[in-house]
Amino acid sequence: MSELNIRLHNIQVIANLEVNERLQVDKKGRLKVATGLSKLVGSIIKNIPKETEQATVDLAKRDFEKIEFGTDEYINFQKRLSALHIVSQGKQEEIAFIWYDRRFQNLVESGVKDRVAEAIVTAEICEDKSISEASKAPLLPEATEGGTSGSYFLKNRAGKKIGVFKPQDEEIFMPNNPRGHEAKYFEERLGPRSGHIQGTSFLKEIAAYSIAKGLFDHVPLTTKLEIPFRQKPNSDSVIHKRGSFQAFAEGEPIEVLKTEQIRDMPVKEVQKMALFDLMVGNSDRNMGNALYDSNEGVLTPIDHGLVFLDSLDWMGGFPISELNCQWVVWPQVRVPLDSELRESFLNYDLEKKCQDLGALEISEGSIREHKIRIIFLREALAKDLTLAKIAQLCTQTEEDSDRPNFLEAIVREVMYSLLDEDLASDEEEFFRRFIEIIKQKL
Amino acid sequence: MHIDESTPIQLVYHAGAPDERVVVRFPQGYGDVAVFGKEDAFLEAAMKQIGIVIPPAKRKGYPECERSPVQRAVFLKNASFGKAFYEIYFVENMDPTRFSWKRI
Repeated sequence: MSELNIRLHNIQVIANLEVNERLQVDKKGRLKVATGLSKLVGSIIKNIPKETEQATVDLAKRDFEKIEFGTDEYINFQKRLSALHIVSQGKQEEIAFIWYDRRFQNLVESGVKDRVAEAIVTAEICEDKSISEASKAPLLPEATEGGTSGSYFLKNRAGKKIGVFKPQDEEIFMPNNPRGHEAKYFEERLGPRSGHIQGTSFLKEIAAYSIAKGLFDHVPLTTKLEIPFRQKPNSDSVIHKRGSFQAFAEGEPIEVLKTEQIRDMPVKEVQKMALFDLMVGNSDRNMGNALYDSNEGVLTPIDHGLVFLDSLDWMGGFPISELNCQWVVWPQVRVPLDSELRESFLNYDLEKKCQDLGALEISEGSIREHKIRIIFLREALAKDLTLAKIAQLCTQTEEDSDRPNFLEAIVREVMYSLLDEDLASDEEEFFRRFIEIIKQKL
Repeated sequence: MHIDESTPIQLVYHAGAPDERVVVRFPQGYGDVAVFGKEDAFLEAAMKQIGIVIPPAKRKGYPECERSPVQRAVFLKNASFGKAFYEIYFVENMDPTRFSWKRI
């Protein structure tokens, strides 16, 4: 192919380039549309001869210069040339940045909010090892302050924090915990709560998001990620860590609010969070784990590493997670449940959500406990109990600290009755009896 | 700053800032009675009603949980509440860039 033909071919490819498509260059300097980002990065870095690279840029520039400055054609070509630049001259980081910008723009143009788009793109970058390698400098995590587990801010290309990454191996009582709570072995009593196994909090975070998605949509985007960490500052040695990523949400943690400010939060927002916590069995809704945006009147629950149990022990031990939610003393949960929230909850597709949880590798015990909580909630709401009252029935409180709470006692009662009849593994029978007793005792 | 159970301390929000406030005081040290500020009435109420859940591995240091295999939380009325607040609640839940312990 002559130089002119290559040029015409390249111009044609660039002109037809779709926003989401990327380019590759073959050894003769011809452009072609890439099929995958990883493939693109690999081929660019490893396979393009320097002379071909430069020749391709020169060809494109020469044609580009013929276009009149300031025209639409100029602007279009400038955009398209940037794609060519990615291929021919970009260093690894530039490749990631340019792709990042374009993907972000596409999402925003399709109606996704800025902060959500940032989180999605960062998540996508992180999930593609070749790209996250390329962007390891800007994504070098910055540790957050406080807490008992390792957690790190992820920043966007402008340096703005867009979310928090929590690596599995740095959770409380995991081997690489950086806050002085490391453990070199696994043991049941070392979980952060009874019935929680070490190293599962990141999955709980993702499970909680999965529950909220499509129901209340109030939990920030949370996804499983694997991102590159430098083993030491300035080291080239990079390891990949698996964990959860949660996008940032606007607002101040409730713990900074004064009594009156908490009292003034919208009833529906508080009830939405409270109902959600009851659905997932949250053991850790303290005042630092919810953000309130007073300008928008929006309450955003965060940090869901301590929801559900990992295993429901049918033979004894703790049969259900330790609900512990500080909103139980707030006035908003002492009034009847908002009618829209009630309707949303009653339309909750439990079977479908349980399938979703299974696909996320959430333990069978967690899924079983979720069913117990949803069934209990349905019955309790049918009796018009307030969320505060329902929470009291499944929380250890000062008055009943020497005995199991109401829900726990019923689960135990059903379990023991099954054991007596040698039916311990009969889950269907468990739920039949559970519903029967709940209806009687509520 | 060395703090032990008998050091009089208070937990301060935004120390030195115009909106500084005292969240909780332990006038005789965290081994003794807690006095919550009126701006943190809901925190006090929560501590009274649902308390601080002690992680299983740490329950040995809390007699209330050690004595009862069922009790998992330490409540405001319990003798080791201050210890639980200082050693567990603050460490696990509060943002140290906003809240800090000061000697009284």
